Amino acid sequence: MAQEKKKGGVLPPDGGWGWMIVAGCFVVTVCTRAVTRCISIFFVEFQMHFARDYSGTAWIHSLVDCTTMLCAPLGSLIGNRLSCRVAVILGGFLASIGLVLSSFATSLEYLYLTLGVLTGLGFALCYTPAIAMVGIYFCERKALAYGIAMSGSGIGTFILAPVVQLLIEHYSWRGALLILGGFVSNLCVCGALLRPIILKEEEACPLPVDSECEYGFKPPGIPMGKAVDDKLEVDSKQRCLQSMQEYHFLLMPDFLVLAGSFLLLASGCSLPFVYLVPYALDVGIGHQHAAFLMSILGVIDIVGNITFGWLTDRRCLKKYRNICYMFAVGMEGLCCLFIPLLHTFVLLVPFSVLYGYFDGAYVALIPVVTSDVVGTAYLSSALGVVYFLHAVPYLVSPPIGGWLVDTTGTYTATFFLSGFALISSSLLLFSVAVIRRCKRNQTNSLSKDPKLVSCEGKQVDCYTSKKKDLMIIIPTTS
Amino acid sequence: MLHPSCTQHRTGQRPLFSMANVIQLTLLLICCDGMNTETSPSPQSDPGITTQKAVSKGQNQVIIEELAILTPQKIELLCNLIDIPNNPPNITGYWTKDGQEIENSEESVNRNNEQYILKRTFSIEARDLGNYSCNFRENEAQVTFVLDVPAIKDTRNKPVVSYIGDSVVLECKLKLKHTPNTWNWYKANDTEKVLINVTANPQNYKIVINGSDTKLTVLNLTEEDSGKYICSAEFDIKPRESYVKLKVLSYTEPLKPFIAIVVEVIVLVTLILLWEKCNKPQQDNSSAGENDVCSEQTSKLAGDENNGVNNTARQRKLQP
Repeated sequence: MAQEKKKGGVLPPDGGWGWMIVAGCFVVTVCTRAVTRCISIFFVEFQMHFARDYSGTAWIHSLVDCTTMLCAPLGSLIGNRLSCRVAVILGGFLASIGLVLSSFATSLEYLYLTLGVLTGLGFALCYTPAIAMVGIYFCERKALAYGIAMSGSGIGTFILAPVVQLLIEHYSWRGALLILGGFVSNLCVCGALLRPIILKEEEACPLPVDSECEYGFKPPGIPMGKAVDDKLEVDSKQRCLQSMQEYHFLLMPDFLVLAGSFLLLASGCSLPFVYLVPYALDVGIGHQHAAFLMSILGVIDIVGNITFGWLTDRRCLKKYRNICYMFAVGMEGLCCLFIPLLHTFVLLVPFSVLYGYFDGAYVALIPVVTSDVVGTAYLSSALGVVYFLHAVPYLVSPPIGGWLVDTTGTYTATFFLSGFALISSSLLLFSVAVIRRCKRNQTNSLSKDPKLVSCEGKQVDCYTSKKKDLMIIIPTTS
Repeated sequence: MLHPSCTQHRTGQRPLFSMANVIQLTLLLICCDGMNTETSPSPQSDPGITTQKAVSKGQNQVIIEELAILTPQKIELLCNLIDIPNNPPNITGYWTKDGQEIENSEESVNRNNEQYILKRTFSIEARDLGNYSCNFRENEAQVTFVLDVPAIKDTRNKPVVSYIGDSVVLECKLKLKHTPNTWNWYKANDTEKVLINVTANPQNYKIVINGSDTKLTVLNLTEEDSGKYICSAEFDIKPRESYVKLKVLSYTEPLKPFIAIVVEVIVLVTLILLWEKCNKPQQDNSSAGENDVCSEQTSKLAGDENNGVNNTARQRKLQP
């Protein structure tokens, strides 16, 4: 085992510049998620100007969300190959260009392209690398850091929505899009903040190429005694290796289970947001009160983000982080199942509070749980895949929910679908954890369970497993 | 609990009634409101009348009913009072318009199965639109009928903003779904209004009329197009007007905040990268800001003996 020296690698700072990273990620979340939600404020203006109906303009929002999530793996790829910093700066540049170009739109299709595709791509390039960086800089206080960083979407929506409305009133939608493009260019500032860091014993995003350097890649000027031809051959094979190595976590059974549970989660979690207000109006609650329910949901979401993050960082709960995550998701599902009993505003307020809290809770824990499973080295790529898995259910489930409402005539079926999807997501993780625990008790083999190991030990653990795999593969190239 | 079911036409009335004290009221509604769109200026001789009953309980209730009048017509307004104390054989009722008692409108109402019905036919022209109330001398109950042309929805108090060379859509919509004869758009120039003629000016204006709402599209905007635009719903009896303000800006207006933000971003990015560069020599990793990949590797591999030891150790492991 290599000597434990801090030179050439550091432990996760858990503070210091890490808080600047958290601030940067917060602003990234504001500029991506909150701006995506605020785009729907422009719809009325677009409908008026281009003389189209609601469904024509609603495509824009779907396109942005879809592109952001589908291209998340691309974001993590660029973050790995080049640098998280470069990825975020590039993404910020693309997104603000997209918004600036859309301010000159002459037709709705033009908007689909600039606002939907270009801006969505820019957001995708920013989102995953920024979140991955937070995971690299924090270990002990990871959940709290993520909680603060992810609360950006809630706080951002809260603040941006009236600001966007004001901009539209003063400058009309063209000017508002232009100024929003300027605002989104702050993503470049966040990118500049993402200072790369090399972690001890483990090469983390954005520089996994380093690992190749250690294992035979020779930068100029270092005499290693090999011919140039050999070096080139090693070079190309290293690239292949790198891709295989980057995504080999996809075969981990732990990750596959997690991926399955994320698919179920994404199918269920967006429905209540879309259908709470129509349901409230349906049971006779006034417009003002229904809007108030959504506001409660949004505010408590922020509270859930930060408090649950802080809670799961406490020593006593850290080992049980997975269980806390399952609990949060399961409770959300349970809340949804009670909806048919809630007919009045007074009864729906506790639903909003509970649902909002647990929604914020699990959102803060997704990156934490992912990094617990795949380790910090692959966090960037893994997050790319995780958000990619969110994309299709996000898009498909609201129309399915709408179809259910149309055919059954009530909202009960939709909320039941959401509740069951969330509960099954939680149960999947729970049953796998139980099975694993039973097996481990039986076989009593070396535990790779990160829950039971401290942060430093965990890094060593992950490194050990990675090194073993590499040792198997590399001898063929030399 | 009102059940407005007006299937009637011309002569109709919607009498509403409320009791000031603890007395039950039965409201008789004979309604004719402007829901139908057939309009012809002369009143019919044989009105069909539909009656509706509604009961209102409570004290000191002031009921206000709005009737939309589209054409000049004759309307019969009816008020029904029930259950007053002492049940006198007759009471006196009178009508007021806009607070002023109408001359010769006072009449004596006889009790009829515990009900007192006061009704009157009014001939409504443009100048006759207003608030009509029935009142009783012996009682404080009052019902007011508001007779007026349909109102236009107030969209916003703030002006509509657009840019030079762009186009803008101004909209006017009626609150309820009545259909005027036509819609007219005017541009207000200080004191007078100028009718917008689409046929004379097809490159600059487009008007779309859709029953109860209308849209004016102004193309090729210039600074002079700023101002007040008046939409007028033409009904037989009287037109209803509303206005929309338009403000035309040049592109430099939003450009100023945009450039300010972009400058701020560039300054911040430069500052952050510079600060990092300045701090680097103090740390062990001496790498330039831009080429992170190579310089980090160089520093790692060439820097420390310990790492070198690690490297060579690993190299030894790998080479069979």
